[in-house]
Amino acid sequence: MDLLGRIADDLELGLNDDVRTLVRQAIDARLSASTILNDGLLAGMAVVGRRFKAHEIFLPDVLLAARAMHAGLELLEPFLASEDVRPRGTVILGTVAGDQHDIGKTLVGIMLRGAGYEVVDLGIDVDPETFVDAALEHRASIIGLSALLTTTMPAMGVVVRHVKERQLAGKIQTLVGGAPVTREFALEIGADAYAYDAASAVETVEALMDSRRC
Amino acid sequence: MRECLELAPDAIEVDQASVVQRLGSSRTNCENGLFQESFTAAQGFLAATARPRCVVQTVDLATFAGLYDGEGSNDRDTPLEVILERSEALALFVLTLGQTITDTIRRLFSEHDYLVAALLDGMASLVAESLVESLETRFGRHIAECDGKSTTPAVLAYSPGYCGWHVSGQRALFSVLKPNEIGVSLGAGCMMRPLKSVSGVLVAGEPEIHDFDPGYSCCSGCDTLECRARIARVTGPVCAKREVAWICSDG
Ligand code: B12
Ligand code: SF4
Repeated sequence: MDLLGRIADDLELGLNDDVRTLVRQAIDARLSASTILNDGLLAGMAVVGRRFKAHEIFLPDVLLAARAMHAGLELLEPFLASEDVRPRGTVILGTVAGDQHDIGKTLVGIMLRGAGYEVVDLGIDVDPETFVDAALEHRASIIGLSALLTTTMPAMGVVVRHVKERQLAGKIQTLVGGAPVTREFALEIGADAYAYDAASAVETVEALMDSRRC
Repeated sequence: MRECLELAPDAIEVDQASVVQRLGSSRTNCENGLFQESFTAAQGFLAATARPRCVVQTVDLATFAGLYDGEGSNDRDTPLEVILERSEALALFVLTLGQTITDTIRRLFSEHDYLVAALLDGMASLVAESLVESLETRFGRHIAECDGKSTTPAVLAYSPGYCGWHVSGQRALFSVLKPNEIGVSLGAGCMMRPLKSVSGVLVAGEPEIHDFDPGYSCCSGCDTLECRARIARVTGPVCAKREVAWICSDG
């Protein structure tokens, strides 16, 4: 099997040390960084994503694979920058003001990175303005908002309003999620999209990005 | 009665199958060596960073009925209202695992140790939930001792944010309980800090008082039917009692 195929396979198995070694070999063999990224790391993560959705593998497997992806990416990053390889898009993520819960949005971020997006994770208890400022600073087209409690969910509406008040609707889209959040709530506050879990968040981000390209 | 309790870290136990299930896996036993390595690492972090503490305080029915209404946001009908009428004794509680465990989970995620971090998060949530069950057992025993009875009443915990009791009800609960000694505070969005904390009321009485049909307004959109398993815990043939060695920390 070729080097790129082995990278993809080892990544699927979560073998981060092996992935790191193979990526180093691929760099030494003068394969381009974009080839290593797309045909090695992202190809492996795409299989992981498909198998996760089909319930053939589970979150622990995905998280091991994501760690292996990071191990490879770390080596590759300087080369990607010098080749001017751009991510598929940039997503700002954070838990809304007043809310401390972060594992949900952290998992969404891991899955999005695995699908080739750049993710700027602002952490927890994030002010509405900070979301919008970060989206402008990082030229992100999507803001992903997370909340754990019904009492912190209204802060999502405030972010959506800020986007509109700053005349950024259409340029910046909002995606909401979290245990108590529903599709109806997303509609009610005027968010652009809702996703139930991390796997569907990736699909939804893809759909939002596609809708911008048309 | 008001007591502050803490738990020795070596008294904390987690069951691998439940943790794996918590992570959404239908496989309850992972043979994968990397998984086992991560599980053992997470167990080590759990023992080193969880610091379970709680405050429990008895309240009379009138006081509780006042605070149960909270800010008037409860559903129009709730199972707890009916249960309360037939209860024998009530105690407010707040329980926490402390801030260090949450800081550790965040650090592990930022260091890309994703699986260890997620396992530790799942373990922490399970431990918090199971320690609430241990408070139920302890409160039941306390009442039996006070009343000089040989049988213990059936105790279940009910929490704001569940089954029609609005999550904003925590403000009234905190105003009475004031769990400052264990370092838990309530933010503007009704979220407790540290994150791995649970608040609620322990309700003691005959097992039947906890039994009801899920026909309340909150039940129509409920896909967990969690009350069924909880009711079975006190009305079923085998009453599973969770015992852990809490230590009084307030002298
Ligand atoms: C485990 C748990 C706990 C644990 C840990 C909490 C924590 N945050 O770490 C403990 C036991 C401590 C706890 C406590 C409480 N809990 Co709790 N808890 C849960 C439970 C069972 C799972 C939450 C979880 O960690 N899930 C795992 C993570 C990975 O999932 P997630 O965060 O939902 O994220 C996924 C999706 O939502 C989505 N997602 C998340 N963010 C985003 C963002 C974007 C952009 C997108 C697209 C998607 C997305 O993708 C993620 C990955 O798949 C839920 C019920 C449930 N089934 O969800 C209740 C739940 C969240 N809890 C609830 C409540 C009420 C509480 C308490 C207030 C109870 C109390 N009075 O003590 C406290 C509050 C704690 C606090 N600090 O203030 C309610 C909240 C509803 C409400 N009424 O507001 C829930 C929904 C249960 C219910 N009643 O149905 N809880
Ligand atoms: S059906 Fe759901 S909402 Fe209704 S009491 Fe049971 S657990 Fe609560």
